[in-house]
Amino acid sequence: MTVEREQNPEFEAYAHPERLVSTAWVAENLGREGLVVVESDEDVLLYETGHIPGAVKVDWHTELNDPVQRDYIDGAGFAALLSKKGISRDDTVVIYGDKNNWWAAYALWVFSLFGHEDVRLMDGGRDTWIAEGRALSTERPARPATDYPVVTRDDSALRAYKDDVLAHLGRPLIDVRSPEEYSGERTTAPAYPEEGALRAGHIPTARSVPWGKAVAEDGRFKNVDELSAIYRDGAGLTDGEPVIAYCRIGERSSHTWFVLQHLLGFEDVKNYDGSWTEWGSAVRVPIVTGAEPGEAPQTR
Amino acid sequence: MSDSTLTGQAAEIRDEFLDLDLSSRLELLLEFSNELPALPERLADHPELLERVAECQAPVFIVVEVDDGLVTMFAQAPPEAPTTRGFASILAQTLNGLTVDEALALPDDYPQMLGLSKAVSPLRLNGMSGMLQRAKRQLRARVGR
Amino acid sequence: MTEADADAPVIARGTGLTEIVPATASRCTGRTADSKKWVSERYRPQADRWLALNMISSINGSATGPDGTSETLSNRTDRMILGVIRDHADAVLVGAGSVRAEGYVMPKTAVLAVVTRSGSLAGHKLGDDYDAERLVVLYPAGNEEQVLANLGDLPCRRLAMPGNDPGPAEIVETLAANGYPSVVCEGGPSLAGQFIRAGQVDAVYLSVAPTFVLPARPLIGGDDEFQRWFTLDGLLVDDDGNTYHRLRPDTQDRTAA
Repeated sequence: MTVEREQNPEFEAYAHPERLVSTAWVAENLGREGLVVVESDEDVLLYETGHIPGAVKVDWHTELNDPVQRDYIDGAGFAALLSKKGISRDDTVVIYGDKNNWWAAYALWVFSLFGHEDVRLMDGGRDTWIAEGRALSTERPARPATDYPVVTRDDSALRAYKDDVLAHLGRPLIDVRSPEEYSGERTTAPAYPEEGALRAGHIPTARSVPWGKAVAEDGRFKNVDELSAIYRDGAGLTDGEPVIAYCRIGERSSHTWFVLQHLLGFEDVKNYDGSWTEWGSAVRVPIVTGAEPGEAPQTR
Repeated sequence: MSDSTLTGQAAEIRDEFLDLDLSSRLELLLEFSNELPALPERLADHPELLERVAECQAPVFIVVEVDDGLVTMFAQAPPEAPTTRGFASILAQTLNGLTVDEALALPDDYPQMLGLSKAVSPLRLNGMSGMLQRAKRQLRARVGR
Repeated sequence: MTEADADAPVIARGTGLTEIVPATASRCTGRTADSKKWVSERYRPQADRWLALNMISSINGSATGPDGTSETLSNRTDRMILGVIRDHADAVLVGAGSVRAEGYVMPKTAVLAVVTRSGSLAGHKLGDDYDAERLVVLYPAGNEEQVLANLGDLPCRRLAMPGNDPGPAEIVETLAANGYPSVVCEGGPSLAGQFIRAGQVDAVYLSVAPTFVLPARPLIGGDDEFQRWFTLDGLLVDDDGNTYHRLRPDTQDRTAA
C-alpha cells in the first residue's frame, strides 16, 4: 500500500513532483503504514551515529553491489535484501542520505532498475534534516521481514554500458565530475597513483555540468527554472533527445539522472555507471583533455 | 587469528575486531571513530604540516612524528566522516609508541586483516590503505630512509 | 602509559580509566601493554581456586540492551577488562543458553566450559575450527544418555557431574578436579543466580553502563526471596562514565544486624 504524494507548492513545477518529499512531510508521516524511510550514505557509519527514527539502512557498497562482479545484485539478491529490510513491493520508499543525496539518488536509481514503483527522495537529505534540528535515533528498527518478489532487473531504460556510450557519441552527454577531473589535470602529486583510472580527461563531446550545480545553497534542489537554465540553456539539452550522464563510478551522475528524469522530465535519460573508472581505463576509447567538449570521432 | 606477522597493539586491535560478528565490527569502528582526539594546538594552528589523504573521499589529514625514536600519528577528519575517522583512529592507536622499525614493519595489508572488508567494503578500505602508506612514507622521510 | 603524563600525546579520547576505590586516583590511558598490565593487576585472583562472576548491567539492572544481547551495553574498555579477567581464568563458564544467544567465540587461553542439562547446543556460533580440548561440556551423569546423543560428534571434552541435579558446588568441584581451578562465570542469569544463592562466589565483577534499558532482563534468575550483601573492593570509572566494580561477598549478614 503506497502513501499519497506530498502536496507541496514548491514541488509542483517539477515534471514529477511525486518523486520528492520534504523533510517536514517525512517528519509528519513517520510510522505510517506503507511508508519505509531508507538512509543511504557514502559513509557506512553515519547511520549508526544517528538516523531518522525508524529509518532502515541500505548500503550501496556492501548491499546493492554484487560482491564479485562489477554489477548490481540480481533479482533474487534484491528480493532477499528488501525482504530482510522489511520493505514490500507496494511500499512507498523514501530515500535520503549524506552529501546532498548522492548515494540516496544512487540507491533510488538501483531501486528503479528493479521497477520498485513508488520510490522518492527526501529533498535536502540528511544534512537538511539535521540542520532543522529534527530528531535522530540510534535505535535499529525491528521491521518484520517481508516477502519481496523476485523481479528481473531491467537495465534497458535507465542504464548505459560502455558500448551504448560509444554508439551514442555525438549526442548529448553530461560529465558531472569536477572541472579538474573533466579537463584531465592531475590533482595529486605525481608520486601517488591516480585513483581509479589509467587516463584522465572526458568522453568526447560531453558537456561539463558538475552535479552540485543542481543543488541550491540550502542543500535542496534548485527550482525548475534554474535547473532548466543550467541543463537546457547552458548544456544545450533539448527535449526528446536521449541523454547519458556519467561521473567516476556512477553515484554523482545518479543525482543528475534524477534531476533530468524526474525534475526536468527528459524522457530518455541513462546513467553510465561504468563511468570514468571504466572509460578512463578502457583500451582504444576516444578521450578528450582540456576544458572544451571536443569533437566526436569519425565513425569507422 | 594467530597471524605471526602482527605483534603488540596491531595484533590486539585485529583480535578485538575478529572477536566480533560483522555488525558489531561496525560498532567497534564507530568506537574508534569517537576516540580520535582533536589535534594538539601546535598542529591545529599549522594545517600545512599535515598531509591530505587523497585515497579517502572525505577530507582527512595526517602527520606522523618521531620523538625519542617513538612514533606518533595525528589525524584530522570531520565528524560527518565517521568511517574515515575510525580508520585514522585505528592507525593512530596501532602506530603510537612503536619504534620506527616496528612501524615500518607493519604489513601494508594490515587494513585488510581486520575483518572489515564485508562490513565496510574493499573499496572503502582502500582509504585506510592509502592512509597507512602515506604514514609510512612520512616516517621514511623523517628518518631519511 | 600509566598515570597522567602531561607531555604525552593524546592518542585516544575517552579511553582513560580512573581508580576510585581504593582512592588512589591512579589513571591509565590508551590501550598499550602497560595499561593492560595496570588492569590485570587489579583483577588478579586472590587464591588458586577462584570463582568470579562477571556481569554487565544497565542502570536499571538489565543484563542486556534492547536487542537482547549484552553487546549493546558493552564498550571497548569493558571488553578489554573482560579479556583480562578471562586471561586470569582456566575456564570461562557459561550456561548453554548464553552460548546460543550471545554468539560466543572461544576465549584466547581459557577453555570455554558450558553447563547443559540436555546437551543441546544448537545454534552456537563457535565455528568448527577450534581444538576439541578448548570446549568443555558439563552435564549431569544421570542424564548422560540423552546428553551424549544430543552432542553427537561435536568436538569437545565431555565431563559428567555427579547425580541428576548437580549445582554450583558440583560444577566448581568437577572443573577443579579436571584442571580448571580458576573459573570466571559469565552467566546467563539463571546460572549466575544459582552461584550467588549457593554462596559459591569469590568475587563479582560488575560493569555498569550509564543507560536505562527496556525491556529489562534481570541479571540473576530465581523467584524465591533472597538477599545477600557484598563489599566493594575496587571501583574503576572510564571517561565515558562506565563503572567497573569488584565486589566480594560479606562475611557477616548486614540485614541481621
